Order: sequence, then structure tokens, then C-alpha cells
Amino acid sequence: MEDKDKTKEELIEEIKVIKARLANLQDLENKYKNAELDLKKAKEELEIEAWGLAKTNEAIKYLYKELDKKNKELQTLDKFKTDFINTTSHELRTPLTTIREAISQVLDGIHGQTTPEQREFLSICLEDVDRLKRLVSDILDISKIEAGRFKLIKEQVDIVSLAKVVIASFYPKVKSMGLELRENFCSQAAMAYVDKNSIIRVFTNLIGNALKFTDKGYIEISVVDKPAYIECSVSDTGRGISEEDIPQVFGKFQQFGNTEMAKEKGTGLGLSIAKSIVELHQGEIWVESVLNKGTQFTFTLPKYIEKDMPEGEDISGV
Amino acid sequence: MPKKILIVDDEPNIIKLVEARLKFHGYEVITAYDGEEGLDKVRDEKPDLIILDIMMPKLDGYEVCHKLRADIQYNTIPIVMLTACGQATDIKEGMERGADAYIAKPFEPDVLVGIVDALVGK
Repeated sequence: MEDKDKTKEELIEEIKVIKARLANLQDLENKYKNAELDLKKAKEELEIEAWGLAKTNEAIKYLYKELDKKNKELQTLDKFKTDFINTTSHELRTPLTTIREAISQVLDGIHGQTTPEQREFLSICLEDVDRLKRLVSDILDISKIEAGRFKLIKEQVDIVSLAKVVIASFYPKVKSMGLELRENFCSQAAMAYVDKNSIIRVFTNLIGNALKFTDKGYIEISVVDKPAYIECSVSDTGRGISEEDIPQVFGKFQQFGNTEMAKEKGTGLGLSIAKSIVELHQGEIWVESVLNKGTQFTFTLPKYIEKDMPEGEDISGV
Repeated sequence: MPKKILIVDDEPNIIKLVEARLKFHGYEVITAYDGEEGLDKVRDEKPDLIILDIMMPKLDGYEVCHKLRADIQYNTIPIVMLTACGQATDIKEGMERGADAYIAKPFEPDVLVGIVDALVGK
């Protein structure tokens, strides 16, 4: 049988198939055209986004420049602050030294005899010159602390030894006041990781403070090596602080009670400095007191931890 | 025979106070108010020790020290320099120029007297 003998049905069938394929192709063509449109749209959207990002990038670069400028300004200001603090301190100390020396010389009789009355009034001058000097020193320290420029040089320090050194320096004064100095050290040593000189300052300020307000009895210094920290305290049998005054104890230029009775006028900054130093060491400081019974200042210091041995080092001692 | 101390400083108050302390302590004192006058006094009076300020008009302390050290006649005289602030650079500079000791201003005159005693004895 030959092709042209295909029946009419077969041809109709073939035409159907071809028509179906055509429809399919047209369908595909449409789909392709739609996809092309979608792609074009997506491309346009991406281009808009890219442009947006480029703008954001420019803005960030600009902000960076501004930040850099501000940073440089801050550094200049910071240096200015330090220079100012140091220069002012020097400028204040210089005339004070001259004044002190001139008064001392007259008191020492270098410029002729003086009457007891003259010496009495000159001594008043001297006392206040010394007070001013202490004040300048304390203000300089407070400025440094507040400007974040109080540098700590931390190292391994035995707080028990340190406390003993400070106690020894107060011994003559305490004795002359008829008071007792007590030590309460839990152990032979208590190793802390601190800046030695500033902790000496803390003890000095607290003991000095106790001396100002204690007429009789004793001042006790204790150091306890606790598991998580080293706890130190300075307590006295002095006149105490009232409940309403306790919150302001560590404030600047705070002096409580009858300061005319205090033997040596303080600067009012000693406790504030002590608090700042303890807090710079991530420690805590607090006070407990009972009027007419006594006061106790307690503070904590970070313990010295042996650093991890460098890798590879044999510590077995073999 | 009391030892002779020369003080060279452009601040009259400092000179007055230091001179009074040193005299009270048994020294003979001569003074100069600037570097040039200081050098003249060294030649004329031949002091046993020189206290030298740094910041001065005409000739500053470093130059005076330098000139004295360069001169055989005077280079054995002990020199104490007064630095404006105890900056490490000032002290190093002073020592390099040949100072024997330094003290930073403001200083306690007692401390200066102590240094003078140590350098020339009494």
C-alpha cells in the first residue's frame, strides 16, 4: 500500500497531531515571550536596587570620613584636657611652694626673731597652704580619673604586706593620739592583681579618714583572702555616720558632722578618690556605721590568677 | 672657709628664697639673673657649686652648662640643674650636657640644700 492510499481518517489524525504540536509551540513561544518580559522587568528592578546600594555606599563613605574627622577632633580635645590638667596643676603648685617656703623661713627664724604670737599666725598660714597643696593634688587625681586618664599599672601585689606598710606610716600619729592600731590578717599573704600605688592611696585615705573622726578606742585594718576576691576593711570606734548621711559619704567635697573638731581638715575628696580607684579595679566599696559606735569601710579587690602557661612549656619540673 | 654657691635663675623670688636657705645653712651665696651674667660670675668668683635654671633669657641653662664643661678651668664644678617640669627629656638633656644633678620645679628648698650638701659637703 502507498502513502497516497492513506485513508482520509489517517490524514485527519495526522493533521490533528500537527495542529496540537503547533498549539504547543505557540504556547511555548508565549511562555518564552513572558519569561523574556519577566527577565527584563527583573533586570530593571535589579538596576534600581544596584543604584540604591551605590547611593548607600556613598553615604557610608561620607559617614566614615565624618567619623574619622570627629575622632581626630576628640583626640585633640583629649590631649588638650591632659595638657590642661597637668599645666594647671603645675601652675597652682608653683606659687604654693614659694608661699610655703617663705613662711617656713620666717618661722624657722631665718629672717630674725619672731614673737610666739607671730609664729602662731604664720602657722595658721602654713596649715592652709599645706591644705591647698593636698587639695590641688586631689583635684588633679579626680580630674585624671574622670577624664579616664588615671593610668593603672597592674601587677601581682600582696595586700597584707601593702597594708602593713601603710599601717606603719600611720603608727606615730595614731600613737600620739592615744589610739590603738589593730591588724586582722587572715593569712600570711593575699595576692591581688592591682596597681600598687593606688591601693596604698585607698588604705591611706580610709585610715586617714578614720583618724579624723575617732577620739578614743582603735582603728582596725583587716584583709581576708576570699574565694572570689580579696576583702579589705578599715573600721574605727569613732563618732560614726548618721543614716541620712551614708548615701553621700563617697560624694565629692563631702565632710560630715562637726568638722571643726576634726584634727586636720581634709579635702573632702579622699573617699571619692578611694571609691574611684576601687571601681577602676572592678571592685566594690561600701560603708556601715552606727552613730557614736563606729564605722567600717569595706572594699574588694581582684585576686591574682596565674596566667595559663604558654603552649608547649613543661611545668612538671621534670 | 664656707663653700661658695652660685645661683643662676631669672626669677627673683626663687633666688631670694634659695639664697636665704643656703646662707642659713652656712654657705656663701652669689647670684646671677641670666646665663651671660652667670658665666661672668663663674669667672670672677670661682664658686664651688652652681645651681642653674634652664629657662632663662640671653643664654639658657643648657648652653651655660655646655660652655662650662668645655672649659678646663671650670668643668669640674658640680652643677645642679633646675628643670621646668620633671620631663624625662629635660633630665636626659641636662645630664647629656654635663649636669651632676637635677631637681624639678617647684621644689622644696630643703631637698635642694640636701643635694648641695651631698655634692660639696660642708
